[in-house]
Amino acid sequence: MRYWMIVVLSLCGTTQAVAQDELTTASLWGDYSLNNRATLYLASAETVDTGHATITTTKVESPVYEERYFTANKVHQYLGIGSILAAGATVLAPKPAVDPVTNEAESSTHETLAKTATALGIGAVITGLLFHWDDFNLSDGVKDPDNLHVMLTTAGTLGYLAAISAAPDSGHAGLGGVGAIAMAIGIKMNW
Amino acid sequence: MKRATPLLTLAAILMVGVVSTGQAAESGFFSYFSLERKKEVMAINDATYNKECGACHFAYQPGLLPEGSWRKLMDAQALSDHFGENAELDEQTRSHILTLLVANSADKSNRKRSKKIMGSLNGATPLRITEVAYIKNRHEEIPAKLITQPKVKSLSQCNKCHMKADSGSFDDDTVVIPEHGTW
Repeated sequence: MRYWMIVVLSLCGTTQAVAQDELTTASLWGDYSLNNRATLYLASAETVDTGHATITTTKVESPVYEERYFTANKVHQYLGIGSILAAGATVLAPKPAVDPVTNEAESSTHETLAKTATALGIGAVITGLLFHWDDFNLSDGVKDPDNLHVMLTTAGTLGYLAAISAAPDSGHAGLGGVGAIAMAIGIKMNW
Repeated sequence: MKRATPLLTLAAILMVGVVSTGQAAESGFFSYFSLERKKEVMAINDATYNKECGACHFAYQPGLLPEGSWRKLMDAQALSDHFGENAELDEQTRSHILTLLVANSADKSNRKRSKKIMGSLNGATPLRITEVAYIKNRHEEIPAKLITQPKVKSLSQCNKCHMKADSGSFDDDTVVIPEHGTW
């Protein structure tokens, strides 16, 4: 049951990201369709006087374009955003009681969410390496936006892993927090 | 481990500060926290620019070239031979367009794509966007026949394949190459 809740939570995050995309796309489509009308006008078989040159144009068919919501880039994006959302939910979830003798915590939603955030973060890192391998190159320097994105999000995922390894010690919250912040900044840089 | 938490928190705050300052140099610290997407090139919508430049070719966003390139291109004498065409403008119009291009040029932009362009130039000020190393690298895998086909003709025709080029978006997901499809 708990795992189903995680799946639903992850999907909620994905749906939100899709909804944002749709909103952005709607405005962009508005702009695009307006510009497209202008282009079609200029591409019609007419003579256009531009003030300094006279151009005779021919009709050109534009390829049909539809926004795609399931692409390699988008999967990478959804995993990264899902990881941040799961990390946020981990902070909000009630912490389990720790046995003072064995120093072990009971299985809890907090732990499951933390592992989900880590799994999504690892997924984001792997898809980033697979789909964007040609976007980053250390020879471009550490100020390169893609290099910073790679370093911060990888550090974020390592922060998650370190937090899980250190749990239930009290210090694990700091590791997870730093990981989440690094992940959030890394994503924002390429947003 | 308890002692490490304040140090880690401090490190996190410093990290936010350092990265944010670098990112928000153009438009203030707090703009970094806005949800506005800054991945793509900044779109401009200037009626004069669209009319005078966009009438003959795609109205390239200023963030695709550095200031030095735009100054060379918009030089009054250079416009009389603008890649083989006479593109002379009256002084007021030329000045208006040059100001627009310089104010939004790649070296002044905090957009990721513009930063990538600047990072690849090493101080060069090319006259053609297709001569920018970053742009060339991004297109090197595309077979020449797809570029030279009649429906595209050359890499300079950005909007033939980049379906959201008008809004400054050159993302792979928005590419539809004529006679080929998505990339």
